[in-house]
Amino acid sequence: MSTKILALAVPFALLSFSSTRALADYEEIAPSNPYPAPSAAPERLRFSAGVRVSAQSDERYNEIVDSNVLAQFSLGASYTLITKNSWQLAAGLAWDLGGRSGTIRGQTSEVFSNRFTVPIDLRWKPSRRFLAFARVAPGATLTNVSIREPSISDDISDLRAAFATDVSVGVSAALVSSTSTRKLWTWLTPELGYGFAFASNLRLARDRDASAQLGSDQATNLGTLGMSGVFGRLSVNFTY
Amino acid sequence: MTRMSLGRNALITFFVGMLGAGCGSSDSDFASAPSFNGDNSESPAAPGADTPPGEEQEIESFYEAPVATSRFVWIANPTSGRVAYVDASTLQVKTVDAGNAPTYLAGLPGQTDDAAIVLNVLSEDATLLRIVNGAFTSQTFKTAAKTNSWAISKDGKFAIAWGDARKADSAPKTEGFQDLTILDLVKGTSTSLAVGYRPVAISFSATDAKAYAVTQDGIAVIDLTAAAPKVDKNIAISATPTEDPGTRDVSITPDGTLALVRRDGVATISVVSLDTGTRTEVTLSGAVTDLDLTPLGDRAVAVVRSTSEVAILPVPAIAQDPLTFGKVTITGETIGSVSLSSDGSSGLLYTNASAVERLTLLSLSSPGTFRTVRVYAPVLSVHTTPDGAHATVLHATSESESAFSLLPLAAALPARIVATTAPPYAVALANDRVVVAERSDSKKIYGVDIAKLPELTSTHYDLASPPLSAGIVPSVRRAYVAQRHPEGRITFVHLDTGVASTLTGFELGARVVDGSKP
Amino acid sequence: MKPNTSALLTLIAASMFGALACNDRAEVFDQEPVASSPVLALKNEIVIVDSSANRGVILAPHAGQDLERISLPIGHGVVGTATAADGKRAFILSAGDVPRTKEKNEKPALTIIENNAARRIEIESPHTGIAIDPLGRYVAVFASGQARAQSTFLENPNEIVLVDLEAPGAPKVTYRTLRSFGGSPARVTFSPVLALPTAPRRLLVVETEQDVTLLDLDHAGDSVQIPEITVRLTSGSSTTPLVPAEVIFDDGDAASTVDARIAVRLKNDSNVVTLTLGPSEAGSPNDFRPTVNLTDVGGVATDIAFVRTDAGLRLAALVPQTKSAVLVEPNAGSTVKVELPAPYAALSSITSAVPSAEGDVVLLYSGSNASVAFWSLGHVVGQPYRSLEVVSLPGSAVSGVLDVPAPHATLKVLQAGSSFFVLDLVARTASPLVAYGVPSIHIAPDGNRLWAFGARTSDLAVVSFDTLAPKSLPLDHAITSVFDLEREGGRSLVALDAEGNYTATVIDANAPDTLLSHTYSSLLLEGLP
Repeated sequence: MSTKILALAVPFALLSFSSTRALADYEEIAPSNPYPAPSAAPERLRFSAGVRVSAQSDERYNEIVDSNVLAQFSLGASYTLITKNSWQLAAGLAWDLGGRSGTIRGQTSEVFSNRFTVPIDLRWKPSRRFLAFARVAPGATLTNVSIREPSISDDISDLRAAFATDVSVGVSAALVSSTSTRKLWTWLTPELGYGFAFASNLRLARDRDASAQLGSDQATNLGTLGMSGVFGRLSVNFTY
Repeated sequence: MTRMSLGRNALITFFVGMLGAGCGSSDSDFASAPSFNGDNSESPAAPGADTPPGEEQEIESFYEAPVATSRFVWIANPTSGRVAYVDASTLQVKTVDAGNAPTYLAGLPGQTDDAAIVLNVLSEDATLLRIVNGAFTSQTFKTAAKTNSWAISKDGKFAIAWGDARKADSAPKTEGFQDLTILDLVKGTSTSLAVGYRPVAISFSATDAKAYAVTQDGIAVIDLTAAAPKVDKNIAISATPTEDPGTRDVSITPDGTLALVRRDGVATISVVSLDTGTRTEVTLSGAVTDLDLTPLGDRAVAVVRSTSEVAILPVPAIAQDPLTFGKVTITGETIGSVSLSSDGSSGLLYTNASAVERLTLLSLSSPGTFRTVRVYAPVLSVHTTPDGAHATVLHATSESESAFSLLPLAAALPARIVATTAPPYAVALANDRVVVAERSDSKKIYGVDIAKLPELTSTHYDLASPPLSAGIVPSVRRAYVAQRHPEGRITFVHLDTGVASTLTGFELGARVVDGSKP
Repeated sequence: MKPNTSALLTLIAASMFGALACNDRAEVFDQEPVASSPVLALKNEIVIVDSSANRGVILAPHAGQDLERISLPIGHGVVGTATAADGKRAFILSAGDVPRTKEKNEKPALTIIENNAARRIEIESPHTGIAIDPLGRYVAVFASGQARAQSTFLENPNEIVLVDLEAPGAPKVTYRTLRSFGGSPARVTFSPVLALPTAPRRLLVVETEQDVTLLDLDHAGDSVQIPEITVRLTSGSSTTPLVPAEVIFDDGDAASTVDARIAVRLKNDSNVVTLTLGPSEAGSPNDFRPTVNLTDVGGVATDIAFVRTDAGLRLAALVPQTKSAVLVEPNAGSTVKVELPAPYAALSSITSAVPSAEGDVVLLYSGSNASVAFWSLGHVVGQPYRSLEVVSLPGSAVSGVLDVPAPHATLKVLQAGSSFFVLDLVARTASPLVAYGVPSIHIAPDGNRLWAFGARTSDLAVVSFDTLAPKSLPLDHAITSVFDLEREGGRSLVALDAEGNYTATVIDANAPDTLLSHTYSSLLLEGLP
């Protein structure tokens, strides 16, 4: 944990220092210009939508759905809190959702994961049309595993929550800049990182009320599952 | 009638109906006696059923059947070409290869080991089978074609294979069965030669130096002492060559010097010297219905049914003096046949030409001494034990009522009649036991009775298949009954314990492999 | 940054993830459980042979309807299974990995599961037939002739692999190639102890398509092998082999060592073959020798048994073709034919349940007849017709007879279509129980109840032998088999559905109530390696 904090703090500090210095330079050379340059003020709001594809490192995932790839839709929003020269600090909310179907021992299976994170970005924006960032996104996963069991003509499933954190780096390039009539920028942002999540026990059972059960349904023990792994995200961002 | 001798303890095995030990019968009978072949399931018919009225029946065996030697019972399987031999003490079965269609078996007497010989009908040869110290050996001899009977010399040195036309169904008249083969079992040679038309009996002289073939052309005298056996001469036994040979009954003395000839319906007996060919006629009081010779050959007993007279002819004196002989009239009794004891001291007189329920025991040593015994069913045949102390009487009955009787001879005791479930079919005797096999093919009832002597008690055993023959292996105290079964079946009964054991499937039993041979 | 550079980055990222995605899982997850996997019932647990996962899954019920699940490794390539008669061991025969390319690839083996542990005994030959000694000492592995192990190109069908489980130290494996006259083993039977001429002995009887081989079990593993005894059933003069269908044993009189017998029923002949085991010949490597006897019973016998009658030992043969039974006197070979009121084809001795001083009592039945008959063999000689008592079962042909253990050993359960009957052997009554559908029956090993269920339905019922009152216990999943198992403090019923990854419901057998049942689903997904 301390290593992670240090990993976030050091670049943050560097970014802060460099952004302060950039602001000072800017004030000294500003001439009286009848035609002032477009404002270099940062677009504070940033909305993103994209695809997050991860390679799950937990073998259990592969065993359940016959693949270690999880593709999710990715939605997010962030607000730039601090801007200092070309450095920015932003925070927001992100939601990755998606799942994968497969088969296990001949039966249909599915893992569906929701990942809720609070991304904290440290950005370096050397120009108006390009930025690079490092991100830490703590949060939680909510994963549902279900498997069809023909002998009971029903599914057995389990819904588990676990603490998760994404750590990633990326770049963002402006595709469409703002105009005098439109202040919206459009960016393309690839991102690469690693998502951590704690493993949780899988105890699958039929989802039915106690009154519908004959006696009691016992859980099927499938071990543990942690939704961790390398991921990549490609998103389209809109800043304003 | 000269008795056949099987085994070394003077067993006498008689078969009723289709029986036979394979030894050639020395009875010669050209009368159309009923012959029961292997497929004839009829029981011995009541008198008059299949024969002309008034004729005595000679009950003989014409069918291959097992033979017993001192320890083994031998059974031929013509289909497989093998002969099975059963150890009568352990009941183990082994089979050995013989020729093609081994059919007619005979045991060899006078041997120190177990030996038998079998005629292989299709390969026209004979196989000598011998077990010496547990080891089996065989030897093959070529034989003449169409031979189906054996005559074995007393010492087992010679075996003569000959053809009995009566065993051949519908043989054409042109088939003479004149070839016979003499096997010298010591030298290992076989010699085939021809004798007269259709022989009916073969016998040997006392010293086995000569063999006699009784044929329709006379008696062929065969010299066995020559380097190769040859026919020395043929003695005519009738002054009339065209006389119907089928009515002759020829007995040859053990020393081979005389032949006594009886003819149906004729009151004379011809005594023919086999050395000189001289014939002497002995005239009796009426048509002679039976003629038997004692085993020693010192007396011939002739029966005249019409006068109930028994003539006791001294042999060989009768050839010289045809008028001097003993006569006994059994007044009040109908007699037509005689069965002599093995020691020749007595004879049982009876008739099976009519339903008579009595028989007479005549002492030959004290002529004139006789007693009549009542048995409670018509007599078919009489068989005495080797010691002459008892006799077994088979009764001519119907399918629904059948029996045999046990008759003490030494003591003046009544006979004991034993009812059977089916008509008697085969009989074997020892001094203390009588074995009677019963058979009814129409009712499918088969069994064997074993009677104890002198107690006269009997125990019955059911059989699963039609009996073919019965015998006794005295060395192991077991009686056997061979039965008809596609895989072969024989039942052994221990004479002392009464335990019965049946072996079925000789071929299978012999094919058990236990690794003792590679 | 220009858009085409961004696209390039995306493509690179996707390719990397694609490469990472090519990570194969273990093959077991790709394979469905083998349909109709063998389920082996032991005394207090069942073993599901999950051959595609190379494991046996043990389901052991405990108090409170808990079901313990244990996975144990078994050999690769399962080809045969069996259980011991005492319910303590399960045997799984495997062919191993073919070809063997790594050290870890397995050879053919016999896996024995006992006390929740598995032990592997390697054997050289991947045969498919397995026979278990009723006394629990031996296992015979042989080429069953039904299906050759897929892994073998060449097989010696006359090889018998004998595993002695009670050999000092480790189980001893003996390989014997039996002599052959063209046949190969179809069935292997262990005899009881037979009093043979020199010493009591057990034999292994091997039936081929045309002969019967006797192997001395007590000397099978000797360093100097004693040759087996082969009884050839064909006389050699016929091309039609006599095919053995069944062998039975009788030790004869307790005081005699020469009257032990083996009877062989033939599939295609009206003879019954009796082998009397007597002394051997001098010089024989074996100390006993069978004397062969054939007895024609009038038609092809469908069942045989040695029985005691008032006239002594007999071999009883049922000949439905002639609507009769034949009693064979084994010594003389004589037969007594007993006319039967119906063409019964099977017999079951019930003397142990209803002892009779006069002779054995036998139950006769057949799948084509709506009746059973009690045949008292104490009244055979002379009056056989009086020894039969028929119990009619209107409209129901008896397809099977199930024994009921003590304390209700005087009962039998007769299966007859959609009904079944509880037959009281003493009172000679038959109480019908009617099902709607064709019930499958399972008799509890403690003899107190039976379970009836509709195969592949959820219908389940229990019937107490004390009251014969059925109690309905419908489940909410289909049932393929049920097992009444012993557990600490009582007994449990495990109702199994062998579809998919298997589901089991556990019910207290002594006080069955679905309200307290526990259902376990996807059992074959658990414990995978």
